[in-house]
Amino acid sequence: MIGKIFNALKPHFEEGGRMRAAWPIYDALLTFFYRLPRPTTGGAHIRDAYDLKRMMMTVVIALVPCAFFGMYNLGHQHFLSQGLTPEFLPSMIEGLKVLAPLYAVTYAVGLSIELAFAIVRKHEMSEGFFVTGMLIPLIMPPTIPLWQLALATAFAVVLGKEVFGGTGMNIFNPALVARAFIFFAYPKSLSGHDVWTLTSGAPVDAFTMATPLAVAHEAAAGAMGHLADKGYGLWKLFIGLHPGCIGETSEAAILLGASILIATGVGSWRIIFSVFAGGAAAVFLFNALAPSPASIMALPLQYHLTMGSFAFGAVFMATDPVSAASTNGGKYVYGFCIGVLIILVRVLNPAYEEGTMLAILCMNVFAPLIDYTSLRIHMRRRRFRAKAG
Amino acid sequence: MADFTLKKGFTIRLDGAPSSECKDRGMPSRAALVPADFPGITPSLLVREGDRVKAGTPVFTDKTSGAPVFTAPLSGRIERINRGDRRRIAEIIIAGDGKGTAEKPPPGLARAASREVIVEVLVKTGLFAFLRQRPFAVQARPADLPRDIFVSAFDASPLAPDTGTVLSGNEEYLTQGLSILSRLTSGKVHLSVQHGDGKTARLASGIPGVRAHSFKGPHPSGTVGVQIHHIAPVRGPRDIVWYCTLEGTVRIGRLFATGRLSYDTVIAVGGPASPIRTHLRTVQGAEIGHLLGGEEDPGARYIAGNVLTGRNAGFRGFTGFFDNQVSVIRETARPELFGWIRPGLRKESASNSFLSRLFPGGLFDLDTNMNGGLRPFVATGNYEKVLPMDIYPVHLIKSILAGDIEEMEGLGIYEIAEEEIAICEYVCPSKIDMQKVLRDGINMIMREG
Repeated sequence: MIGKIFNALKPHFEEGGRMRAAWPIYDALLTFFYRLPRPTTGGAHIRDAYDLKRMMMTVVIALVPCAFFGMYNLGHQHFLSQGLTPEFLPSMIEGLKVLAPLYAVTYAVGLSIELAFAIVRKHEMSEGFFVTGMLIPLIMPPTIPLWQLALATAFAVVLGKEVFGGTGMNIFNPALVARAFIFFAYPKSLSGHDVWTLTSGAPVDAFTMATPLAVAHEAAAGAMGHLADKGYGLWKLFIGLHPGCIGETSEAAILLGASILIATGVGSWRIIFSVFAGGAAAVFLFNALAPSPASIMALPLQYHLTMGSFAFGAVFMATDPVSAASTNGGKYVYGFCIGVLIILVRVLNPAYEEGTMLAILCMNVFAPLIDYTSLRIHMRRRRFRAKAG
Repeated sequence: MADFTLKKGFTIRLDGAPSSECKDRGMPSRAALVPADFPGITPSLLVREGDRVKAGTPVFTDKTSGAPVFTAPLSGRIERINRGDRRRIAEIIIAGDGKGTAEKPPPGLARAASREVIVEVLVKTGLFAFLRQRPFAVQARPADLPRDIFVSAFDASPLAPDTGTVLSGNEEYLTQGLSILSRLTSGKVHLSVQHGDGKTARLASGIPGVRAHSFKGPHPSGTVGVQIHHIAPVRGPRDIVWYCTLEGTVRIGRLFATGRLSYDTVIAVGGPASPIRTHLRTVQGAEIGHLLGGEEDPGARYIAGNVLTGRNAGFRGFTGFFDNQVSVIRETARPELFGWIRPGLRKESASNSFLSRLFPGGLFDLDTNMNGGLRPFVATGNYEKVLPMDIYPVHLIKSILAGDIEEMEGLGIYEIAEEEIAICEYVCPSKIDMQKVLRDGINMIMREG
């Protein structure tokens, strides 16, 4: 059936057809539905079933737990803030009402721009935006205005990716570019206590609007005790039923996604592992140097890992194979530095509570340098071996 | 005897492996020489269409060096000389007369002969064509003195011929061949056998200057480049080593042992679309249709060699010089709905994103589908997992695309050739023609160097 529609439409998009310029749309839709019988022409006569589309879709699937949990949590926090008991189905519906428009806007804007570039460049449409588009709403607060999201997405696709030549060529993780755009252009949308929960009218007094990280920072005597006072126990932080960016609150959902990425080999375990290792190293150092138990420097590791964007960044952002270091040795360095930088920004920078985005973007810049150094070491070892042999 | 265990690599679970039995297929009515089988030479014809030849008659030579000749595998008449792009000689087809007459080999067939005499015999009989060199994976030059000579006694690529079957009845010739090869180098002859194949390793024991090694691991552990890398790596553009196939070593040994030129060979035939899956005794360069028998299947691809590095020869095409193998697979024909999102129980892949990875026993009917469109390089980490060498394939290929010769040298271009990188090309999710890019890089270095 679908095949018949495609066959009927084909002449319009082919050379001489009226819609010739829109061939990438036809091609993108066709390859979305079908794996086409394109034969190998030279070199290897058989090719692995794995392609970039499969890789991207695996990441999207790994993000599904975060998206669903985020959806539920959105409604959950909404009802709590109104002093109501959050029930499952209404919470999901409330969450869907917010998340669906966010996704609609992100994909509409992103895919149209990708399409425009594909037409101008006469390329096939690349599947990279599937993942970027899936990520962008998840790293936004639930109150983000749709027009800001649209602007940020456009900025990310054009300046974060297409100016470099498209998928595979970009320096920065495009989803983080979108967030950085909001962060610097519309800081009010990403700061303060009010943006992290979708309220209608004033919230009830018993409800904490502040994110756990903000709570930890404002603590006067002992962050752990203060967190507990506000209802942020470690287990609750891990499950993720608290205000925050839509997809980032639940470490449980992220863990599920991480296991998919690692089991399929799509996400680099080296990077994920070393981000956590770097974070742990920095936290232990600060713990040892903390002037008093009340200081944010004294906050133990388990809290750092379960708050804010640490886990989400480590699993889904740092592992982007295009913007990360590409040598195996380099991946350890790259990940470790991200982990250290996140904690550094969190603990020492009074202006920003969260450092994940900045840490990863910063290391995106250094990834080519890390690879360069790692390749020099590799070449030197090879030369040395040649002499010894 | 050194043992090497390689962890990296990937064995493609392709259906249609040949059985280990060997049937007699007899003399084909036609056979051919395909100059494209010999990398690095420019053929210069020594015969014309209609000329009568015997087995062993020189058919063409290398224009640049002028030395080695490439000889007719059976007696008969030059039926056609097919030309391809830019009038390049594509095939020299010989119609057999069924008489089986052969040229007389030159004198000097004594094992104790000097190196010069042995080289001259090999050059004149066309057997020198079996010798290739690293770096660059091109035909060896008679004037060079190689540091070592490497022989791989097994092939781990898909549907490969079985060493035991190929060697059956030729054991003594292998020993003789190794001993002849050992006279060509100032160093050693390294014979690599598959782990557990003590029978073949024993054939090399006791020959002065010959050492046996064993390799364990998935494809490409049987490729000579991987073996050289682990035994005694190529150190630079002037560190020349030679290599010879198992078949070549046997044929050289047979010439010196019997004093007769023989083009008899064993070809493994297999693949999902192959009507027969067995080993066949025939002569070098035989027509593929003669080996398979029956009618041509228009939906099949007939490959001279293996599915990774072989040549798309066609049913009326001819077997290759270096690969004792014909693989037949189905041409891709039908679009598959939502092919990229299916769980993947019936798909072969090196990636764990396919459920088939959970069932290691299966065999797959793989066709010629690219399984995706051409995309820019993404450092997914898949490549490094399948190449058992201290080489970063992605960065090497990128340095070639950038034309950076110094970088290519540093990253190991002298150690690697198509047969090693082919498995990276197979797993490449961006569907890049890595074998072609690598050859372009090697050509660039040879021009500049």
